[in-house]
Amino acid sequence: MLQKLKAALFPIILFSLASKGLCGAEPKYKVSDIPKDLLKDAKAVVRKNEVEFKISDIDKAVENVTYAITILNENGIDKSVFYQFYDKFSSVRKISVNLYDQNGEVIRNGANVNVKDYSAIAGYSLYEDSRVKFVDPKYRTTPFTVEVSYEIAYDGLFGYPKWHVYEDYNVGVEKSKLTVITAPGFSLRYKEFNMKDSCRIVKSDNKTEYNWEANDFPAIREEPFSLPISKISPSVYLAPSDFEIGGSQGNCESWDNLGKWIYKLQKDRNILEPETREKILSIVSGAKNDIDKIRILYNYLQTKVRYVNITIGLCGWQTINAETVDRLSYGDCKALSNYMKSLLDIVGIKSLFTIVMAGDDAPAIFDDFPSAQFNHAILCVPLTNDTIWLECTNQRIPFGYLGAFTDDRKVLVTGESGGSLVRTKQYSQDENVQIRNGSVKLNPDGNGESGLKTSFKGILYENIFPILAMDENDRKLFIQKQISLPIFNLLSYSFSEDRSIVPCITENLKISLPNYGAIVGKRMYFNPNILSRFAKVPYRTQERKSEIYLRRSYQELDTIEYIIPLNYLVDKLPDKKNFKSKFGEYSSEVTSNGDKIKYVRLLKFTKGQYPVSDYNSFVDFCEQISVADQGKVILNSSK
Amino acid sequence: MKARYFLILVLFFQFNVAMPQKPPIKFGEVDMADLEMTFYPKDTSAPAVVLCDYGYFSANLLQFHQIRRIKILKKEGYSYATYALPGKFQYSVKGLTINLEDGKIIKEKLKNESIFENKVTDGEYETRVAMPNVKVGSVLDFDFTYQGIPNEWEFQEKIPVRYSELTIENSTSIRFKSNFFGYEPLAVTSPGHWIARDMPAFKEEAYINSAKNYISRSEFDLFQVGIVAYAATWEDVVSNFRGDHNFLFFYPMSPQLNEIAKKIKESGSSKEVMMRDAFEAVKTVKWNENASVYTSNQTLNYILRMKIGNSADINSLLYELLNKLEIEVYPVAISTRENGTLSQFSASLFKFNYLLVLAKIGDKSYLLDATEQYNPYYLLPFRCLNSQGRIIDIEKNGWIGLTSDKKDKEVITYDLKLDEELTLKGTLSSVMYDYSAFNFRKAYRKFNSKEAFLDDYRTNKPGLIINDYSIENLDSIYLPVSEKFDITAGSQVIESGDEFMIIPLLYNQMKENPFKSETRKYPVDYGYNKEMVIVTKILIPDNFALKELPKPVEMKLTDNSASFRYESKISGSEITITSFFNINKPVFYYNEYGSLRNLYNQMINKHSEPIILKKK
Repeated sequence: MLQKLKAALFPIILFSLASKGLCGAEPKYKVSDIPKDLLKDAKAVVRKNEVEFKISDIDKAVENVTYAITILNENGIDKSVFYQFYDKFSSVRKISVNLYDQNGEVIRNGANVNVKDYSAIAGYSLYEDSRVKFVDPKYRTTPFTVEVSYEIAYDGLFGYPKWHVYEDYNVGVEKSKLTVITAPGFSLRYKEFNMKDSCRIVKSDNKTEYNWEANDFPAIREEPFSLPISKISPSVYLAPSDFEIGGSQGNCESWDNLGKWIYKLQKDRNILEPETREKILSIVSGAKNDIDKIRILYNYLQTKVRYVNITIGLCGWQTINAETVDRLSYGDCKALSNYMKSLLDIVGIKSLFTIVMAGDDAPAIFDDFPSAQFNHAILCVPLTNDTIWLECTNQRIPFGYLGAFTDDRKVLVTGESGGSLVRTKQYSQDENVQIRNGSVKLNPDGNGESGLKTSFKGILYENIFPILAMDENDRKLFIQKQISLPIFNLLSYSFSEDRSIVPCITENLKISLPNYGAIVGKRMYFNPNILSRFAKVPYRTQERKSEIYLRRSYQELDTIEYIIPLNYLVDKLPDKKNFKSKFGEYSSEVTSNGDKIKYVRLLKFTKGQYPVSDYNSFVDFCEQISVADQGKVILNSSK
Repeated sequence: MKARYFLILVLFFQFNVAMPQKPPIKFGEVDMADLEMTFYPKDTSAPAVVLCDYGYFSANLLQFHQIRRIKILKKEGYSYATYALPGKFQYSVKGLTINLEDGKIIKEKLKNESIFENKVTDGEYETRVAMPNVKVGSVLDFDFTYQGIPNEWEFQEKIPVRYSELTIENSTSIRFKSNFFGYEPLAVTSPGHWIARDMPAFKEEAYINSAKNYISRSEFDLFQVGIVAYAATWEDVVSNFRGDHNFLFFYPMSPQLNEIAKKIKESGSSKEVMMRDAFEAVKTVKWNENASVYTSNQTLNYILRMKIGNSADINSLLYELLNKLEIEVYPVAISTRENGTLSQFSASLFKFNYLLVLAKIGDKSYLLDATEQYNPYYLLPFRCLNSQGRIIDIEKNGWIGLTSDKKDKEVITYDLKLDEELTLKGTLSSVMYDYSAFNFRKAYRKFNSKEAFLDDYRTNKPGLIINDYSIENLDSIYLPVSEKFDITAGSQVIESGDEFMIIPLLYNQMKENPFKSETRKYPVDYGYNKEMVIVTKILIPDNFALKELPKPVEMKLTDNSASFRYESKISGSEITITSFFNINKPVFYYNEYGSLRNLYNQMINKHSEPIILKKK
C-alpha cells in the first residue's frame, strides 16, 4: 500500500523538480518564428536538421544528428516519433529527446526519455539481425516541437548515410545541414541531386570537411502521377571508395569492383552433395537444349523450395550454402538465387548472381554513382541470343517472368570478372495488353445477359495473377470486387493461363445485368462500354509542382457486340471519338447493323516523364477519355 | 499458431481427478490416406487443412500440451509451415515433416537450426519455427508443451479444420470458464471438453463486426484461483474491478482538477451544461489510441499535466470531475467492436478492454466517452457501439445498452440553372449531422489545406468546376457542419437529336452496390442508423420543355427497417427531384440480406434515370 502510494507520488515530485530546474530557460523553436511561406500545406516543419558524419577509418565512423521538428496538426503526429535502425555493424546511442510547447517553453526534457528497442523483423521474415531504437514522445496537443539528438557508431561500413532535404510530403524545412569530416587524403565520393548549391570543401592539416546546406523549403503536397519524394527532394548521396565490413574488404568506385566484392561473398557456396548432382543430371537428361534445361531446373526449384526470409550474415549480402537450402528446402532471395545458380552449375550453364532495387514503385538507381543501392537478389542467365531472368523466391510465376517488382530497371550483374549494370526486361506497350471481347443480349425489359472474355498480358498479368492462388470462395469475391458495374450477378467464371515468357491470363465471365438498359418512356439507353470505363481523372490545377510520371506503357482493346431487343430501333449512337496526345491515344466507335450494335474501343498510355507544363493537357486527355467512356446508346421503342 | 497464452504464476495443490483424454492422433503416425490426399474433399480449393488440432490442459502440472497436424495441399498453404510462438524458446517442441516419396514414407525432424528465438523488445520474446522440407503433399506434425493455458482456442481457422479437440481439467482450486462464440456449431460440448468436426474455412465479408464474433472459438477466463473468486458471477467481476488499483485512479487527488471543477461550478449553469463543460475540459487530454479498461498506472494529476492518456485514463478523469461536480456517475466496462462481443450469460473479467462513464441527471442517463476530439458528449464513438456494457458498481451493477439514438445523417441540395450552352450552374450544399458530421470532420482534417481537400473532391468528377467553397461550423462540434459549393458542371447533358438527357443526382448518384454477393452468412452491421437525403432543383431555360420525368417510387423493408423513396415534380420551369434513403436499425441478419441488397439495387436504378428535355 505504502509502496503504491510512493509510486503514485513519484512522478509528481519528479515533475515539480523538473519544472523548477527548467524555469527561466530561453524559449526555443517558437511556432510564431516559422516563416509564413513554410506553413502552407504543412503538417510539420523541420526547424533544423544537422547531420555530421565523421569517418575515422574505412570501417569506422560516427554520425551525429540533431534535429527539431514542429508538429503543426494531428496529421504530423507520426513525425514526432523517433526511430533509427541498426544492426550488428552499428549502434545507436546518446539519444536525447526534448519537447517544447508552441511558445518554445520546455514541456519535457531529455532526462525521462523512454527509449524502446525493438527487433525490426518484417512480417514475412523468420529471423533478422536488424533492430530499431524507438522513442514515441506520446504528445498530442499540437502545435509542439520535438528536438532529438543521437549518435550512430559504425563498426564496419558498406552503405553511407544519405541526406534528403525533404523526407516526407507536407513537411516544410527551415534549416538542414550535412557535414562530412574525413581524414586528409581520404577519398569520399558523393552525388548531389537537385541541389541548388554544391558542396563547400574546407581542408585543413588534420581533416577535410564537406558542407551542404538547404534553407527555407516550403512543404510540398503529394500530387497524382508523380515521382517518389526521394526523386523530387534535393539530396546528397555518399559512398566510400574502399570499404570494410565484417572483415571483408571491397571497393565501390566502379560497378565492376562492387560486383567483384558481391561475387566474392557468394563464392564457393554452390557446393552440393554428389547424390543431388546425380539427381539434377538425371532430371535434365531428356532436355533438348539449354533453355529446356533451365526451364526444367526452374520448375524443380519452384516445387522443391519455399521462400523464408532469414537475413543473417554479412550485412544481409552473403548467402547461406546451397547444400543447406537443399536440405531444408527453404531460403531467402540470396539463398534461393544462389541455389538455382548451383543447380545450373551442375548442368554446365553459366548464370550470374544479380542484385536489384526491387519494388513496383522503387526509385531508379543512380547509375553514375556506384554504391549500395539494392535490396533484393535475382539470377541472370545469359544465353547466346537472349538473356533469361529468374526470380527465385516465387513458386508460382511462369519461367522467365520478372513482373513489376523487378522489371525495366538497372541491376548489378556480378561474376568472377566483375560487375556491370544491365537493364532488366521492359514490357512494351504491345506486351502490356488487355483485350476484352464479348457480347451482350438486351431484353425488352432492359435486363441483359453477357459473356465476356478478357485477357491480361505482360505486366497486366499481375493484376489478376493473385486469383490463381485463391480458393473458389475468394476467387468469386475477387472477381465481384473487380467488376465496377452498379448492379450485376456473376453467373459463372473460368480462367486459363498461358505461361509464356510474356505470360497471359484469360478470364471468361458470364454475368447477368439487371436493368442494364434504363427505360424512360419509349426510350432505352445504356453505356456500350461495359467494364472498361476510365476513372482516374486527376484534378486540374495551376499549381502543379512535380513532373508527370507514367511508369509503364499499356493498352486496352475492347470489342463488344450488343443484340438489341426486337421491338427497339437505334435512336442515337455516341459520336465516333479519335484523339491522340503525347501521353497516349484513344478511339471509340459504335456502329449498328440491324439488331446488332458493335462497340470498339482502344486506349493507349505511353510511359514517360513529362514536364510540369504538360499537366493540364494531361488532365484534358484523361477527361476526354472519361467523357468518351460515358457515351450512351439510345434506343427507341417502335411500338 | 492460433492460440494466445498467458501464464499462471501461482501454484495450488488440491485437484479433482479429471478423466485423462487420450490424444486422437499419435505424433508422427500418419494414415496413408492422409499422406496420399491431394485435395480436401469437403473444400477442394483449400490450400491446406488442419487434420487434427488437439489441446490438453493438465491442472495437476499446470501445463498445456498441443498436437497439431496440418496437410499442405497447395503452394499457397506453405505459410502454414511457419509458426510464431509467443515467448522465449522454452517450449518442449517436436516437429516432423512427413512426405510420401515414391510410395515411401520419409520423415524429417525439426532441428534447432530451424528454430529462432527473437527478442521483440525488452522482456518480450517470440519463437519462430520453419518446418524443414515442406512440399505440396507434406503432412506436418507439431507437438509442444508449455506452462500455462491458452486464453483462446479457435476451432475454426482461415483453412478448414477436420478435427479439433480441447480438454481443460478443472480442479477445486483452479477453475476456468469458457465462452463459446461463432456460427459453426461444435460436435461435442461438455464441461471442460469440446470437439469440433469438419469446420469450414472462415471468410470475412463487408460491413461485419469483429471477425472474432463470427469465427467459432472458445475463450477462457481464469475463474477461480484458490479462495479468490475472479469471474464466477457478474457480481464477482464488479468486486474484482473495484478492488483493482488500476480501476479508475488509485490516487485521484489533484489541485488542478479542483481548479477546473471550481471554474465550471462558478458558471452557475444547469447540471447538463456543467456535464458538457466537464466533457470538453477533459478533452484537452488527448487519447493515445490505446483501448484499456484499466488506467495506465499514473496519477490523475500526471495525466492531466501530460495531456495524454489511454481510454481509461481519460474517462476516469471525466468520472472524477463529474463526481466533483456532484453529478451521479458510474464507471461502465465494455468490450469494443474490435475486441468482440461480451457474452451476457457467462461472467468474464478479461474480456473488457474499454471504460465509459454513465452520468445520471434527473431521469436522464448519458453514456460518455471523451477520447474523440470531434465528438459531442452525446455521440458514442463507433467502436463502442457493441451490444452491452456492464455498470461497475456494487449497488447499481447491471447491463446497459451500447446503442446510439443518433444517426449518420446528410442532406445534399443542388440548386442549379441550365443555360443555353448546356452547362449547369449554381450551388451545391451539404449539411451533415451527428455521425456524418463526425466522420466528415475527421476526414477533412486529414487534408493539410482547403485546396488539398478540394483537389481530392474534384478527382474523378470530369467537367466540375468549383468557383467558390465555404464551410460552416467545422469547429463547432455541437452544430451540424455544412458545406457550400458554387459550381459549374459541364459534360452532364447528353444530346440526342432535339432531346436532352440529364441524370439529376449528378455527383451523388449511388453507383455501386456494396453487397455484391447474392447471399451472405454473417449479419450486416452498420453500427448506427443512416439517413441520406438528396435534393436536386434544376431551372430550365424558357425555350426548353420537359418531356420525361423519372417516376416516383417508394420501397420499405419489413417494419420499415430500411426504406427508399424517390420523388419528382415540376413547377413552372423548375424541376425538383428528391431521394430519401434510410437505414432504421443497425444490424440486419442473413435472412434480411436479400431484401436489403435489393433495396440498394432499386435505389441505384432510380439514381441512374435521366430527365429528358426537349427544345420548344
